[in-house]
Amino acid sequence: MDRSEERFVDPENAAAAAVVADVRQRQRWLGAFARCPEERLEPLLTQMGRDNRYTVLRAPEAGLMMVRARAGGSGQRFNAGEMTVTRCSIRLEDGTVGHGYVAGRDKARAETIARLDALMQGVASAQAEPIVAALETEIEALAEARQSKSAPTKVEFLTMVRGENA
Amino acid sequence: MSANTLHAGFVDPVSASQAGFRAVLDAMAHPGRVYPLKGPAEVPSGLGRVTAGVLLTLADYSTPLWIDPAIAGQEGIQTYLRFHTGAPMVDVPKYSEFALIGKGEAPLNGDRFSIGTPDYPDRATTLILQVDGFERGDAVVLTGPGIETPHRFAPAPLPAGFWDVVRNNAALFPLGLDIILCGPDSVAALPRSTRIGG
Repeated sequence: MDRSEERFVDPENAAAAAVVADVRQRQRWLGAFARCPEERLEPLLTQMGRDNRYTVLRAPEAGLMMVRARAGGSGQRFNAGEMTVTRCSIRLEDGTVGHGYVAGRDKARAETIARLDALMQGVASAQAEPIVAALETEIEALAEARQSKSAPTKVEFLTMVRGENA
Repeated sequence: MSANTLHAGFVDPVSASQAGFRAVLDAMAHPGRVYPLKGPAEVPSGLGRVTAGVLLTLADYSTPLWIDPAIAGQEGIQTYLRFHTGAPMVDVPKYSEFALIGKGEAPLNGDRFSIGTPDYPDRATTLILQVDGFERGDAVVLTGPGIETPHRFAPAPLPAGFWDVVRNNAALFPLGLDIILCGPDSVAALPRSTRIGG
């Protein structure tokens, strides 16, 4: 979560807090859809009440996005490099707009995510929560599995203490 | 659909904006000649299809846009153009790269826009006007670069003071305002080099 955003939220202002909560939840599910295994998306679309009568506002397009970072998470901001991102926007019959962003150049996936995003906005957050949580658990498990596979291959480079003071 | 519904852009952005660019390029090269241009299928109310096509083709994050407050459906148009082009919206006409002018009664005041600087004459505002056609207005005879034989040009409706802005370009050259006129299905242009009268 972007910390700059947190500074602007007035805890006294309930309306603003609700908007921020909505935005955060949407960010969470968009993140989960973008990172989860491909095969999870199609069944989700069915579960969410697949609506095929949608209009493509922005056809799927691949482009480059600058990834910015801070050294150690708190240093000076710098451009870490560009990554390929595919995006798509659609509109449902009732006017709800959905956006899909995914790393890489998978156009079909960007469109599926945009449709899911639009459908998710139509359900209560209590219903959306378990769906997102299940995906997040799976993504975490996959990341952990990958890390535990690569961790044993880590090589430690030791430097002997040298010099007059040794 | 509500007024704030987002409308779709080009279905095939690459070939549509290439075709749009060609039409505007031809129109600029041959002032007063009318070139067909296909816009996107859906547009917010107040914005013509051809106008939308021209803006989707030309505008991007580096071209500040000013929209005449007289244009109805201002908010929908802004949302649409911001979403599809990423162009920043400005309130001050002088700072704009493109200015979308309404059909309203308010006279056109050329001084409000940027005519460029001697070092950077390209930093002038390009005016985009929506007209109903190129035949029914008061005819003028255009001359200048790109016009082999002077010909009649009669766009309508135009805001009061429009032809003064075009005439004034003669005094300003090489600075001045370029103008793109968008009809119901075609586009014409009056670059700053064009003169009125034989």
